[in-house]
Amino acid sequence: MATVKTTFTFSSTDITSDALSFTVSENLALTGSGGIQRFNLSTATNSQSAYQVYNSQSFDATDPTYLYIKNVTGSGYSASAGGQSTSSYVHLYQSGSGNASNGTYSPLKGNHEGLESMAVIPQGGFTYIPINPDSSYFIFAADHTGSEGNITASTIVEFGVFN
Amino acid sequence: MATVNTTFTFSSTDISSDALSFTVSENLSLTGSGGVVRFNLNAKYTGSMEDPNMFGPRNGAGAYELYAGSGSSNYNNPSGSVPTYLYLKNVTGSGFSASAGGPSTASVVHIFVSGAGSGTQAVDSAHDIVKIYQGGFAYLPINSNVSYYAYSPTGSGAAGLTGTIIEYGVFR
Repeated sequence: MATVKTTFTFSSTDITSDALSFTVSENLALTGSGGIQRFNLSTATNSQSAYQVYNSQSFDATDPTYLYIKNVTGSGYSASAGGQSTSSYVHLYQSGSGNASNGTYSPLKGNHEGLESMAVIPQGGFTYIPINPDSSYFIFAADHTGSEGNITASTIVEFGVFN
Repeated sequence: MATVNTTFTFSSTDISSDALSFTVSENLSLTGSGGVVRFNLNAKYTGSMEDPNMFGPRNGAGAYELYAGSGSSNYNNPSGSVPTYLYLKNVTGSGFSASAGGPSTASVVHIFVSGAGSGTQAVDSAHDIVKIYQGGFAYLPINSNVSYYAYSPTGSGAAGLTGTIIEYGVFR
């Protein structure tokens, strides 16, 4: 069994009249595998598809499982006039696949109709969540609103799933 | 405009043959308000969730609203274009009386999102997106168009919660 320590520090000198700083930390006792990989998400855009970062069949629903994603570059999004940004955002959403009782919602695909994005990661941003292992998780690159538009360059992401 | 620095460090000495350690950091330029509050989740949610099973769709009636997205009845809803961040920790999560075969005697904080707000095909409810075990935490840049809810299920036939202390903050 491997062990992993995660630490999250949050600090600000101007959000309140007093300097704000706190750190939370947890030690994960892992029973399975895990690792970090980095790739270009652009291959999962324009084609109206998405990249699966976790499959609902991978682990048991009661196994604590953790997902880390960072939008490393997220550059090159050609926004339309009035768009939020010229940088692409990484959207994270989940399907309802997996356990039979999750069949209410079919797995998302194509133009991502169905469930809304649960996280919208800007360039340089990251997320860390203990996921619901009974759902599948997908990412795609788009503008802030979720419109894929024209991704003209790369959207490099790195992610890891730990169980 | 306030600024906030968030840093996440991940390290392990035995997950691979070489010691693994990396740190990511970001500086948030905030335009609105934010803060961290701590409270007993049981004070809001009293165990009336109709389906204590950890699977299946939910509605927001029995959970605590962490963030009100556009389309919510909460008038404090922000613009969908404002980057917004959610931090939540399950501080204690104790007192869950698990049924036989249950995964834990500590309560787990679940987060789900509603389908409120704009979208191509909004749904009323969704599956849990996050399951935070005792002592665990989550940090995510949220979709400001949808609402986020937290609850802690009681377990089927169980005595219910004695206290699930959480702390959370929404920053924008």
